[in-house]
Amino acid sequence: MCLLLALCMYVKPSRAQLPPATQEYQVKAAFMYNFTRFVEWPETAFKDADAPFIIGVVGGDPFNSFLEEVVSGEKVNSHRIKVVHFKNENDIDDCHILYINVTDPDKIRSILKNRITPFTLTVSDVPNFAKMGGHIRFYKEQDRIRLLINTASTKSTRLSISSKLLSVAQIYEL
Amino acid sequence: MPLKDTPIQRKLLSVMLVTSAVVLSLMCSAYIVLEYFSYRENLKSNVTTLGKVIASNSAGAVAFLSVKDANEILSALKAESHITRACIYDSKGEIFAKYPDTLAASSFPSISSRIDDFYYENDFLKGFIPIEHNKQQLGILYIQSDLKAMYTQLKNFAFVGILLIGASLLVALILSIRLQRTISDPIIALQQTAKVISTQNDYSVRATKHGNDEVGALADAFNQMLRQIQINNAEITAFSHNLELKVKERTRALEQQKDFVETILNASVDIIVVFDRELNYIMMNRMPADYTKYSKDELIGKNLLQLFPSMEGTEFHMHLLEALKGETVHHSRFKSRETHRTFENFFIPLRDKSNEVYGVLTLNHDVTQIAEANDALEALNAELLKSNRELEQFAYVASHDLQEPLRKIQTFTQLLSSNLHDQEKRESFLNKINQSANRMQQLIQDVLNFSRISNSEDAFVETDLNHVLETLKVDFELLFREKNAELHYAQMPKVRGIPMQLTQIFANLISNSLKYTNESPVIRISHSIMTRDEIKKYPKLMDTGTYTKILFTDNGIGFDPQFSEQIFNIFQRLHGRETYSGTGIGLALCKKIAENHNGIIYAEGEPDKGATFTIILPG
Repeated sequence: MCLLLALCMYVKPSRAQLPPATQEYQVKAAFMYNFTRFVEWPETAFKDADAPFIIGVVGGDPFNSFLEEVVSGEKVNSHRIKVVHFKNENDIDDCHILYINVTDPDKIRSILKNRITPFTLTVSDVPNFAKMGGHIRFYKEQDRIRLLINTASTKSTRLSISSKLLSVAQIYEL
Repeated sequence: MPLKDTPIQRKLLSVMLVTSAVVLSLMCSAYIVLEYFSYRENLKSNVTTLGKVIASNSAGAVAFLSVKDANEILSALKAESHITRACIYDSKGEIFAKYPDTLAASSFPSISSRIDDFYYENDFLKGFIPIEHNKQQLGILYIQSDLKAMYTQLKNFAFVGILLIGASLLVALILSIRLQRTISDPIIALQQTAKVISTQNDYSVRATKHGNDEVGALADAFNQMLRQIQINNAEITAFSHNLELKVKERTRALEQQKDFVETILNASVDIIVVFDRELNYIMMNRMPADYTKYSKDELIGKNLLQLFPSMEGTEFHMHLLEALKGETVHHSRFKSRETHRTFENFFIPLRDKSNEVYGVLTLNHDVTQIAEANDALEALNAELLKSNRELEQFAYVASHDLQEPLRKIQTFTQLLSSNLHDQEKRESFLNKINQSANRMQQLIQDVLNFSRISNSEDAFVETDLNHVLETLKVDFELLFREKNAELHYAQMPKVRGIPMQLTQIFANLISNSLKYTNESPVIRISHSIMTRDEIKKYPKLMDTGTYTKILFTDNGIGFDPQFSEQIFNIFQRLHGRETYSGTGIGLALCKKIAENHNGIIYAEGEPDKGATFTIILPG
């Protein structure tokens, strides 16, 4: 309910004023937050009960400050959500959701291969992200943001993705 | 036909069928009402469940803004035909997806009208369900269901119910027809028994008992009653037979008594009649029939005044009315105009037990003969009195008038005996004696004439007065010439009478007129037939007779009217014998003759203006 109110207060004035690209990332920020609801992390993904839920963003920050605003004060179970920005792939630390704002496929592959844990959900806008082994890719269809999920790669993680999320997403198949 | 008049079989049938119909209808209605409410509850819970499923399913679509998926989820509602509308509002309250998606957004309620629970509105079940995921509200589902299915189902229930009631009633009817006989048959049997008894008056019939229920008790009571009636009937018959005998006996006694009374009544020669208060004849003996033109049967029950209108206002009528007031009336003389008989009447009021006068007993004793004899006796008595009076008068007058010439004769005989030698005186005295003797003779002759009239037994014959007057004209011819007299008369009528006496009456009148007229007497005789009104002026005349009035007028010395009656008395003279000769018997004779003819004579006149004699004779 708090979130809903927050969204209403926040989104409504911005929609008319902000340019389409900004608007798009506003939606994506919300989606990022929603992933915390439709994907389940085992308790073993956290060091302790007080450990934060970390959303990491690697590369430039396309969300501006929307993401921080969306997750501000929100929790996943008992874990406070925290947004962490990584400058490059080498800085990447353990995180629960990783948004990869990197265009180089090799770098992406390297991140996917070396920099993630079985508890990390990877999200990106990059084309062929799923093909590259990423979990969720944002894509646009008729001006609407859609999700493409590579279920094969998500199965190899320790995360469980809600069927409700799967039902609204495009499933990437080899 | 109202229910209370319908036969008991139909009544029973009606009661059973109506009861069954009412019970079944109530049950079906209750079931339908129950069904209505339970359907609504069920529908509410079904739609709630369905809504929750849809809401749950659509959480992802809402969270990730997938309109297509949301629409797809909603379109699954097609399977539930009663769901007419549904829509999903996003977190901002705007419609995100709708079903059916062809409907305009305005067809759905705005999120602001949201109510937490489901509610019924205009035959629709409506409700909002939050779309949540992990306790996070993502949007709201609106769902709306119609009640067509419910109504269809209720209609089906009603139809089945009606069929069921119909079938049940049919079964009830068949069962009732068979079962009601156990109640109605004994009653009908009882009723038919009663009918047989009432139409044939046969109290020996007994009702058949079918069981020990109330009808059985009724049959027992009925039979007991019949036994009692039979006993009572026998008693009544015996009693009425006795009574009949007694009545016959009494009737015979009464008839005897009645015959006895009637015999007594009819033995009477008096008219015995009983009138009621309205003067109707209610009882009579045989006599009224002898006196009237009506028989006894024609009189009984009729009104006195209607049968005899001339009785109205008569003494008889008045006496009846007096008697009705309670007075006994005795009337010794009643001359009936109806019967022309004379009766002695008694009017005796008849009183009932409360002393009220209810009628009058009249006794009419015919006294006609006695009355007539009495009348004759009275007439005779009057005649005798008159005769006696005349005789007294006659004796008195005779003693005076007849003595006078005798005294003269005595005086002159004495004078003659003492003067026998005087020739002149002797002749004078003898002459005086002779005159007195002549006068004596005249008087005796007249008295004889007068008395003869009274005793006359001559027959009445038709007498022509013209002839009478002609004879008299001849007789008086010399005297007429001597006195230069005239006699005028027109054609005279014929009357019934004694010719000698009629001649005498006119002779006396003519003689009287000539005597009392000093110069040239003129006598006029006229006559007329008297009218009925004229006759009524003379009480002595009979109303029904015919009379001739003769006027005899002269121009003589007349008389003072105060003497108009005296002049007819015997030996009555108004003047001295020295002035006018006469015996004073002439007019008395005229009066006697007129009365002998049942007529009248009277005189009218004034001194020096002549006299008029009026003679009225029958015929």
